[in-house]
Formats: sequence, structure tokens, C-alpha cells
Amino acid sequence: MGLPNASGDLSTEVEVDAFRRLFPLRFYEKHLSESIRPDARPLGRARDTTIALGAVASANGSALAKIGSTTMLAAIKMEVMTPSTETPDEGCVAIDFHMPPICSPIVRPGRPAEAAPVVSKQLSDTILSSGMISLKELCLVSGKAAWMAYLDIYCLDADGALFDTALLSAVAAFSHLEIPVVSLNDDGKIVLLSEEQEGMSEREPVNREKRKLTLCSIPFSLTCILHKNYILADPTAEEESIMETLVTIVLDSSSQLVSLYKPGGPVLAYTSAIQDCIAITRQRVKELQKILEEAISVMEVD
Amino acid sequence: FRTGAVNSASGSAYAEFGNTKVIVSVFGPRESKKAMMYSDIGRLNCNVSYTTFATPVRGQGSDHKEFSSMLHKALEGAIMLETFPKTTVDVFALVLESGGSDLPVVISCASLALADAGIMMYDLVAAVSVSCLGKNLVIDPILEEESYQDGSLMLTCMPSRYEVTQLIFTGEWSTPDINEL
Repeated sequence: MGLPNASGDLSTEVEVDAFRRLFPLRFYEKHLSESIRPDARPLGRARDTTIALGAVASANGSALAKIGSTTMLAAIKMEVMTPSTETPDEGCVAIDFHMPPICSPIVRPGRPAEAAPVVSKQLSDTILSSGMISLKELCLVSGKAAWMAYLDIYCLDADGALFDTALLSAVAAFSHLEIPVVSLNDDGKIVLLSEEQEGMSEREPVNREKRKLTLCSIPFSLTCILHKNYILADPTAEEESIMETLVTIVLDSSSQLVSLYKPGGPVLAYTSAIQDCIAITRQRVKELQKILEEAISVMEVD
Repeated sequence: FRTGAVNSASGSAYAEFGNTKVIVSVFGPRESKKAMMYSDIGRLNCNVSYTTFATPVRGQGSDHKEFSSMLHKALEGAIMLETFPKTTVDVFALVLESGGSDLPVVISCASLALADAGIMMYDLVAAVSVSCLGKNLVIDPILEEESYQDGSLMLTCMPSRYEVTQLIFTGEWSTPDINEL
């Protein structure tokens, strides 16, 4: 720690903004010693979260999730495909996470962001292993036709906590998903019934009405930063860039641990730190569940 | 129309025209890459991309590569490039939903985002497209109308100065129709 006195003198003369850019770590440590962060949040609180369902009219299910300024748009499109021979009764879900260059100054059009494939893989692992969706529900005709759900998540604004927002938008999109009506063609192929044809069709539809997927054990997550003895919940991009130890915990709605992800970092995580993180996550899960239920009930009123 | 849609960009705008939804962010002026040569005036870099759910059939739109260069030409005339030498301004557009007449919406939204970022311009750029369906001229066509069209025209201009920055004609037109415009 080279110049504690010198920076003490400087800080009275230099403006707050300049101090924040030049000595970001010290700026944050001054705040942390008072148990508060620059945007006036206490250490364990996450930013304001909102969910809007049905953002994209042309997709079968969609949702827009915002945590603070981080914004993600998730959309699901369903297509019919033939299932594989090993699992003739199951459909398939393909998850793709994109970071287009509008979201942050670090992303350039030619080269995809570093974080994108990491978050993409984390997301698909979490969603498939949490058992939220039963693939058997996606089956239409056993052995011949099943649904393939393409879930695309676009990051519209990247300000920290990318995985949390992406998972929230994916979960919300699945809860908004409506499986379209189909019927068997004469060739034995599945054909999408559009609404005008419904009155005229003589063939028996395979599924009578648009139905929703039943979701059990919905996963929710929270990312925390460990720095010395402090635990900061829901970091912004600025906090993430200066303090590098992140821990992401995914719990499902019955508070069971789905996944724990700590990708290295200079701070070692002792059991007590992890247990504190899990406690904060548990509270956050309750908040998120309430927000999601409110969003769903608002949609149903419409 | 809305500005300030993206927090992490210098300037941004979101526009919704019927079913067509577009977000544009502007970053800059920032340093040009070392590979680019020194230039007295600034550079403009544009990129337009589509989401996979922008079109009813999932898959990339085929036109988006030329849209980037068309956006570049439309904005070039309006921005005062001399005010930021040696730096680059990046304009990125993302089409969230395509309901026809995409490029004019992108151009108008981009000029609003540039204004939000505080980049000096001569005037805001507005764009509109017109389709010719047989004998009728349709302004601001939607996707279905575009697929039936015989020819289309896109006009971008700076309203206060009565100047046209770009004019694009495609398809079949007969001379009396052109005179009508």
C-alpha cells in the first residue's frame, strides 16, 4: 500500500469523479467501511428488478427482465422436429445467449464478447439440470414428432449480474410460453394451425388448445462479490471490473441448491462466506418469486 | 421514440413504428484502432444486426449486410466529422422485430441516438420508404405489402436544410410514377 497519506491529502482536493476513476479500489473501500455502496445500497441488497412478459409479439413466449440497468430480452420459438431414436418421447430445448454490440462499449461487432459463451453454457446447464421443464411434455407423436424450443436471449444493456438477469428472463419467458395448436396433415406431417383455419379444418388437432408448460422447481440466482471480508450482492459492471471474485448461487423455489459457481479469483471462499452468500440468496429468491408471480398475474388480467 | 434506452452507451435511442422495433446505441468518439491510418476528420463505423426472432421464420434476415453500408452513407452527410479528428464514432443497431420498412426506422433512430450522444450534426436525418404496388404508391409499407411490391424507393433527407442525403431505387418503376414522387 504505497501512498496512504498522499492519497488522503489528494482526496480532499481531487473531485469525486476523478478519484473514482484514478483509485477505484480505494473509492470503494471507503464506502465499504461504512457498509454502503456508491449507489446508496446496503451490501446485501440487490437492485430494482422488473419483469415484463410478452415483449415480442411474434414469438411463442417472451420476457424482458431488468435488474438495475442490466436488460435482457428472452424469446422462445417453437418448431416441430423428429426426436432422436434414443429418446422418442422427449422434445428438446436449445439455449443461445447473444451479446450484440449495443450492450456495452467492450463488445465489438466482429468478435463476440468473452462473457457470452460462458454465460450461455452456464444457462443451459442450469436450466436443464434444475428440472424446471419436463422434456416429455414437449412430445407430440411418440417417435415421430416433438417440439424443439429455441430460446434466444439478447443482452440489451450490460451493467453487471449478466447471469442473474439472463436466468430470470429465461424463466419468465418459459412461464409465458404457449404451445401452439397443431394437427396431422394427410402425409402424416404435423402442420401448424393458424387461427383462421381452426374453424375450417376437419382433421382432429393433436392438441386442442394452446397450453402452457408446467414448471416445477423454478431456479433463481444471485451473484455476489467477495472482497476481503465483505460480501456484495448483485454487482454493477464497475464493481465487477475492480473486484474480481464472483460467486453465483442458484437455488430453486424450494430453497434447494441447484448450482454453485465460483470461477477462481484472488479471494478464497471459506465455508462461512459461502453460507452467508446462500442466506442472502435465499432472501433474494423469495423477492424474485413474488416479482415473477406479480408479472404473471398482470398478464393474465389482460 | 425514446432516448436513453441503453445506460452503458454514450447515446442511445429506441423506436417503435407499428411492429418494427429497433434499438440503436452510439459509442464514441473513441480512439481509432492502431491499424487505421491517421485522418484529419473522424470516422463513422456502422453495424446493423437482426435478432433471430425478428422475422416470423426463425433465421437471419438476408439483407442486413448491405443495411450497414446504407446506414453509413445516410449518416455521413449529416455528421460534422471535422469536430472529432483521429477518433471513431460507432453506431450499432439491433432490430428486435421486423414489421416492414426496417431501414428507414433504423436511420431515423440512429440520428436520434447520435443527438443523444452529443455528436455534432448539421441536422437530424429522417427517412421514409415508399412501395409501388401496381398502380398504387404505398408509403411506409408493412412486411406483407413489401413482399408484393414491384419496386421501392427509400429517401433520407435533412428536413431543415431541404437536402437529400441518400436516394435508393429498386425494382420496376415506370416514368410517370417517378414524376409523381
